[in-house]
Amino acid sequence: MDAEQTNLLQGTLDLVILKALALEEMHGLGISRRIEQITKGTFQVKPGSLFPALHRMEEAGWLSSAWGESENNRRAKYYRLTKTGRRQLGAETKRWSRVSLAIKRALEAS
Amino acid sequence: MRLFSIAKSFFQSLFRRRQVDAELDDELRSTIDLLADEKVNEGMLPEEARRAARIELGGVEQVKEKVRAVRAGAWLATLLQDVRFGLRMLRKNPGFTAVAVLTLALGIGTTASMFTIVDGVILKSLGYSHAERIVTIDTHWTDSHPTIHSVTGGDLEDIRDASGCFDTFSFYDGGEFGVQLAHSAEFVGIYEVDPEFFNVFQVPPLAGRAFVASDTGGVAVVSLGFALRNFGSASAALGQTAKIDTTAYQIVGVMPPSFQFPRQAQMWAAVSPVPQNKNRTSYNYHAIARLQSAKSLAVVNARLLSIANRLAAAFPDSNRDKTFTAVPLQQELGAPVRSTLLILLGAVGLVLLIACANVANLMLARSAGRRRELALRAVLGAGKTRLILQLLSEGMILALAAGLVGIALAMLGTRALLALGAKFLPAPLLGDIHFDWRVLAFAVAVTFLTSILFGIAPAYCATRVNLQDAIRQGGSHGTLGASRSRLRDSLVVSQIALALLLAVSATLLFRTMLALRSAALGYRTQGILVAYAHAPARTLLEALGAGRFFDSLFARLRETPGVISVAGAMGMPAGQYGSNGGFAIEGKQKWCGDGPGCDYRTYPHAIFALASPRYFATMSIPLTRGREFNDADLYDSPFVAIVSESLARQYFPNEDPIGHRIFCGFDATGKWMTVVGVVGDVRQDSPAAQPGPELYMPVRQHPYMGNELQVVVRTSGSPEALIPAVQQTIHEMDPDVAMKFTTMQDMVTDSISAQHFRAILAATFATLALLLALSGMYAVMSHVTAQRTAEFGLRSALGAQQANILRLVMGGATRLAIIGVIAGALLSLFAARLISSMLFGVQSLDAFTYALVIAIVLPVVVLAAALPAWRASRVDPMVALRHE
Repeated sequence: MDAEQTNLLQGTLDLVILKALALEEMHGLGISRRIEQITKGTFQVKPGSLFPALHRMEEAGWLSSAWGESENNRRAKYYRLTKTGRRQLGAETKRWSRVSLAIKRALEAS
Repeated sequence: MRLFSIAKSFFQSLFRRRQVDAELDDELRSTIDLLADEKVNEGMLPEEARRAARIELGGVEQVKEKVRAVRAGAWLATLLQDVRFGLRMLRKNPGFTAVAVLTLALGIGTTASMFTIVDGVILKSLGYSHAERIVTIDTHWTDSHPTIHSVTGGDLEDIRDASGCFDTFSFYDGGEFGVQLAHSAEFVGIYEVDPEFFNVFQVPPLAGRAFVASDTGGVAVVSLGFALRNFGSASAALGQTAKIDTTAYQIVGVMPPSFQFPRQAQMWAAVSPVPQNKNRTSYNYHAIARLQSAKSLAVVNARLLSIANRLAAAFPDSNRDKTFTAVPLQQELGAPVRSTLLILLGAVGLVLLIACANVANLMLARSAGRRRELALRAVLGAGKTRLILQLLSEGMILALAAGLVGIALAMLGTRALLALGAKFLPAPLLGDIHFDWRVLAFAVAVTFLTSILFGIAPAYCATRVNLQDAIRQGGSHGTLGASRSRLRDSLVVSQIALALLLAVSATLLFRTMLALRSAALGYRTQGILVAYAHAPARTLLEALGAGRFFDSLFARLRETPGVISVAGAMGMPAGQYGSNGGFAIEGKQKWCGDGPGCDYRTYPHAIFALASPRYFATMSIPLTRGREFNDADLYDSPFVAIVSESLARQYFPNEDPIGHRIFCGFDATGKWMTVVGVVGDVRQDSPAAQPGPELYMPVRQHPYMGNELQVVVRTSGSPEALIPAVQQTIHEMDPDVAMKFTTMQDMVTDSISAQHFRAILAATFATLALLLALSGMYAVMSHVTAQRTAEFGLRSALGAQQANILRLVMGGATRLAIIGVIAGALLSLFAARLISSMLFGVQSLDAFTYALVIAIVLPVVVLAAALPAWRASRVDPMVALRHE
């Protein structure tokens, strides 16, 4: 998915980032890989979209960050969900299910 | 939480920008490392892996720029950066900056000073509490009769008693008269007002008291200026006595200097609330009232209409078709100057537009030279919005600097306008015209508006830069983009068009003034000193005495060295006083004055004036038939009159008026008067007035009107030089006679102060506009030729002559100038129609004016292109080509 399309789906990008971070804290690249993995390669989030989104979400209070060590002993900045972020994930998930169900129904209607 | 993190981020992006940026750098670098590790694990060589990781991340700077853009406060940081950058750019080009700031400052300054006047006269409410509820009452007629800004005594009482719409209701009447103090006499503005007068305005006195209901005579309130001049202080004036026409008034109060109503008032004398003259045909009283807060103007006017209808039915002779309207005081005061001021504000707005176009053009020219810089910034990750913002903020800095200079200019300009308009602007409003926060707010708003107006075009162009072309072409030497040059050309064309419009209007107004200056007035203006003199008199005996006094004064003055002749009059042309009304010709009309039986409006109408013997000779008003008044035309002699040629022509067609008898309601001592002479017409109110029927009567036969005269002294030298001698003679003869001096020349000049004000300002604005258009043309042509240096060098290397290149450049300039002039001429047709009612002696479609203006503007504008063209033609082909 190229940058322009990701832009069109900004709400979606936020949702998948929140989802990716739901289990554990992760650095930027890790989040990107995790999203590829959980969407089975449908979303490839480029750094040009990922980092602005991370910083925006941190500013919104959904994420917090701290420097840590990666598996292969590299310094990296790790992001994790805050309480607000977790709430946001719940709310977004509900909203998205509702929307996707509605769209599905609409498309299946004869 | 959220608010806190936003605040933190805001703070950080402002003050800890460097740390935040460094942290972002670290994060991105570590991401590259992680990516590289991944790729090494997949089997890449470490070097190769790092390269691939960098490519996958994309431009580090672009990512950083995008992250910065989403931060809170990012806009502010950007703005600060832009401002810093803008300041640096402006400092690097002091010439450009100075020209742009000065151009804009002139535009903003003139606009703000004109606005100061408009605000004080039209927009700002008067300085009284709830001033919007103060109204005056006009009389007008449902047929074609002109509106009169006063009411009759009879109508006034009905309006006051029956309307039920007013909190307070008062009236006043007066003008400039003599007032006698213990040791001196002064000629000042004196108004008789009823005791409610000050309650209408709700302005408390500075010292003493205002009037109370029992004050129906014998007491007066004076202005602070009057008190200081004559008694030393406000409190010293209290209890003092001043006499008007032998009646004594005790001063009970002093008004603050801010209270200036009516015009030039320095003394307000209390009179009974019952009008002295209760007839319904003499419009002697100015009514002024304060509306009840619950009553709207519409309600009041509906009520006035029903009163008028009732009166029309009850008194058809005097009140048929007559009605009354309440007009807010501010509107009434501003009405005579309103259209002039608005038109001048429009003119000054056009000057501002031209200034904006000028600066826009300068910025366009400069941004063309900066294309490579802008393109480079775009390549390095600056978005379009970012570039536009940067250019706009540069514009904003220019505008701010210009605004500051402009405000300083406006303060000076306002002073100049006030000096120029001292005679033209309504005196009671002059105190309200000054530089204040309203003008400041206006200037700031105009400043921002201009920065957008002139910043938008360059910014728009910046977004249309084709990056590759811009960089490849090597900056400023590239060929001109077609759309950019078209934009610049149209800016120049509109500047020329607007300047031409202003020049045409200014020329029309200026020719009006010249026509007024050279109009045949019907009387001489050179070498005439006019002394307004007031000899106190109330009874018939005193008034007859005043008449004798003036005759002996004339005789004494005739002996003064340098004096050619002396006379007296009441109702001189261009003077302060005048009277007019209906008259009857024996055998043609029945005279019943304002009594029942005659329709007042069917009488022939004339201007009335009093004249002493030798008046017409002194004023060089030609006597065409019969005789002048002579020393035998006294109160107990047969009453006589002299008529103007217009009156003779209009009311005595095909017969000789001499010997006919005329009656008019000029004063209480009316008798049938025999016409003894016919004199030439004069333009009465001002040189702009049409000569009309005029009826002259001997001063000595109308003593009640003859104790205040304009003494006319004709001299071979300078009239002002005679003032001390005349003053001394009058004072020696009677120290109680109050006087003031002017010259016939000044009276005429004052009477055309409106035309003068308009002409001078319009000419100033037009000159400014033309200069701006000139510099606009010059700037554009020099820039165009500079950009085409290489092309010209090539052309001359290939054999083009200097003349060819000169023709090429001048041809382009001439084309722009011609289009501008044609557009301007078309626009002028509309503008001229707007001012057609202000013209005299010249038609709004005057071909000569158009030809004259075009003949000046066209060559001058084309010449502005000559210097750059000449420079271009002299370019050395080697230098030009190496330039590239």
